[in-house]
Amino acid sequence: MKELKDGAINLGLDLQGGMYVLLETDIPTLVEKIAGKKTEELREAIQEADERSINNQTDFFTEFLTVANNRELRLFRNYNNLATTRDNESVISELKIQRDNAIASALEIIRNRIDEFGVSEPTIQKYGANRIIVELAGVQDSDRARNLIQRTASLEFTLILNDQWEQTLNKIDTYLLSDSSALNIDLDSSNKNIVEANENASAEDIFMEENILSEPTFDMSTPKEVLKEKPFSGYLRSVPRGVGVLAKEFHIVKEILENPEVRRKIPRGGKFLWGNQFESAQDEMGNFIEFRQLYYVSSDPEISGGMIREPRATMGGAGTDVSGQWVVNLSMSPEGAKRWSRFTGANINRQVAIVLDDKVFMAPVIRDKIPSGQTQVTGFADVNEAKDIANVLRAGELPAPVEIIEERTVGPSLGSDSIKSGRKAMFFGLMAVMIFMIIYYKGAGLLATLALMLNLIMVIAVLAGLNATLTLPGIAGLILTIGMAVDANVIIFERIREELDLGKTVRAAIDSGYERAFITILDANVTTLIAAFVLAWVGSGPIQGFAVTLSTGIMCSMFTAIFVTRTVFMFFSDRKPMESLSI
Amino acid sequence: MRFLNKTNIDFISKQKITGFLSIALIIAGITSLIMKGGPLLSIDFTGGTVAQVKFEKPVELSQLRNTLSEFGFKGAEIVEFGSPDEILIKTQFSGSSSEISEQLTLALGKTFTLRRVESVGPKIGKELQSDALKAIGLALVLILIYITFRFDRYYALGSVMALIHDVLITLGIFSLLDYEINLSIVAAFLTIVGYSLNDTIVVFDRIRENIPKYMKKTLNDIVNISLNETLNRTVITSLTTMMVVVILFIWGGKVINLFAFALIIGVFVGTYSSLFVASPVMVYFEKRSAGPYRK
Repeated sequence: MKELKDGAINLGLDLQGGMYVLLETDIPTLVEKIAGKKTEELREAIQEADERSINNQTDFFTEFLTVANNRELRLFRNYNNLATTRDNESVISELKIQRDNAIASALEIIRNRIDEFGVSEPTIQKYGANRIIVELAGVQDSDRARNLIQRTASLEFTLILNDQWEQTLNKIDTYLLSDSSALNIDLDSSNKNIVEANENASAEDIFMEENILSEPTFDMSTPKEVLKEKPFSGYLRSVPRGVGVLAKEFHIVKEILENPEVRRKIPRGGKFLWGNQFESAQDEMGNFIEFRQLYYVSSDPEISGGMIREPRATMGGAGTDVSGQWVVNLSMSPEGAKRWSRFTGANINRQVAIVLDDKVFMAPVIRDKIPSGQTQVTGFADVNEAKDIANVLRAGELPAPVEIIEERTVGPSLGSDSIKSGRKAMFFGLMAVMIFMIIYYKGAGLLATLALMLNLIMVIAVLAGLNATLTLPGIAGLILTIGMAVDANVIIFERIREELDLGKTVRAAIDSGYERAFITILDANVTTLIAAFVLAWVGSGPIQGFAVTLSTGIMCSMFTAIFVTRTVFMFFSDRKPMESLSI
Repeated sequence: MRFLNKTNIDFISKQKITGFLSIALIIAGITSLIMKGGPLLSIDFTGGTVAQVKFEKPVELSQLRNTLSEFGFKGAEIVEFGSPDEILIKTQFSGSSSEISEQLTLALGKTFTLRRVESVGPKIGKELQSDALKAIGLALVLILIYITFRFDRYYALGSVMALIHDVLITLGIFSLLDYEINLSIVAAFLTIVGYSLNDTIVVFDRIRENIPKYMKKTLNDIVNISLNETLNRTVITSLTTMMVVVILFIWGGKVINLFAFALIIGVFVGTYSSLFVASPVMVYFEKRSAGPYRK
């Protein structure tokens, strides 16, 4: 137990607090991105391969090859930028190499980002063909860390298509009104939720006292009558710098926009993007509303991440309109500067969106031609965001988006609670078993408790020696070991008692007791070990921790029961022939 | 001190009662499993998110439920976790968990701390599911091989039947109580397998030792003698293990509560099965085969 305190044993993330994240690179997106010539057929083939690989739990590339062959696609035409021969097989194997490169650079980029973030001893490693494990111990702000890891850091400057706004909204409304079989149910139920909730309570009733949300004490949701006519655009309302959606209704609108049918209705060349964060402002009636802005932008960006140079987060200069705000200053590569200059010159008085990872950070109106490429990005929620974004922009764009497919985060307070309760359970468990053994087996019981202590010390030493990580299930394994470790001794003692009952002398009883018991102990423990080994092999993370402590515990208990206690018995019975045995 | 002195219980003849008891329990469990469409799997296997949230002060669950559903946590399961200011939010949502904490902040303001977030994508869920099944299957096969090798195949059959019995009953009880099966419960199942086997092997070992000793006696008698001879050990080991498992359940903390509960059931059922399931099954198959031991 002392080692636990001294930190001689590595504590798992579930005990010291921290986050475990399993990332998967979005291979289909990468494969599409690599293509020199992107055609609709290629997109469809990639999508089908993706669906098949998810459904059949198979490798994407295997499916992609099958799909390409089935559709008689000649992949080299799309991938003429890769040096391959003309058959699909060789294109696929070249794509696999590209994938490996992408993962390697993603690892490097994520490592750089985390280094700058400042976490002690992060673990960042490749897992399987297209996954990355990131473990950050003791991280305080998990939201921030998560964003930092996951950001693709794709920065785009793209035109806002205000002229097509009305027309696109109409298309979606018309579609939802005409053929809303799938969506209708959804809309109704979400509306119902809102209505119910509003009838029942306002937000401040959640807490038994005190108010938590700013002001919304009356119903501001979009009235149903409006939605009957405008099932989509009804949700949109004018906000200070454009059009926004109420925070409460955000998820509904998001769902509509994510609907595949709706997406098909959005004209090619345009896409909807959300603002970077929720904002609050006063509406015309003087009520505070919380909302998120919605933009309709060109899907063909003018400037993209590769053209960005030297991003730096600083405080906006005094006297400028961003004074007191955090901003990110950046410059552009010669090519970028040239394009930016041409673009700004041609689009004076139009709005441009500065988009990071598909979220609009700012949407300034172009006042003048910008010849130098020097640009300032604003619109950050706080210092950390500005710094983190400068950080990810510096570390570079990930070759393909990564998705968090598994995450386990434990706050430091929960971790220390777990250690506390684990320690308590261990202490009580140990006490209970020792007291029982001494009462039941007297002298021999005392010996067994000594063996038990020795056993625990050995297990902890072995774990420290193996550099194993102690997890919460690992502590459970240790506690379980306490209960099961005495088993070997119980088998031996019961055997010795039997032998004594048969009338054997003390010495003979001890000898044959140990001898007979040995086979039993071996067979019985090997089977438990088999189960533990399988766990250690197949299981992951915490489960592995449990299996390792359990199997170490079993092996140590066999050792102490068979060799250590026997030696002590021998020592006493050799010194003077014993008439009776305290057992 | 001795709890049981020179017992002479006829375990084998109790077959009818115990067999009925076991089958009744298993059928109850399986019925519940079928009616509920399989075991209640946690987000580890189905994909989804669990957030453990601690508030500054106690919260009213029903109001919280309303507010959260208003903010898009549709169908979220919200339960108290340990104390009234700490709750668990379970959703099928498996997007990025930053979205979850964003939504939560939006709905509740900065009045809480996220103590634990576990988020598993549906794809990983499927993988973890097949890994867990693989682990249990592999363990059973390896154990079967080991026992066949050390004893014979009828012993192996007896012990594996006992194991399946134990896992089915524990699974059934979990289903009846609507408890979730998560990764650590799978680990608990494998521990139960190991423990129950440990118990069974000790008995089998004694039977193997006693067969040449009592050549005149029937297999039934030999098994009974062996069970009685090892009864003291069975009871004491179960007792010490049960003590620590119960302590783990009471003081081990909320997070491993269910794990400890599974072990409590497992130790109980495992002890029972090594007395009343493994040996009778072994005897049944030995006799049917009319193997080396006459009736």
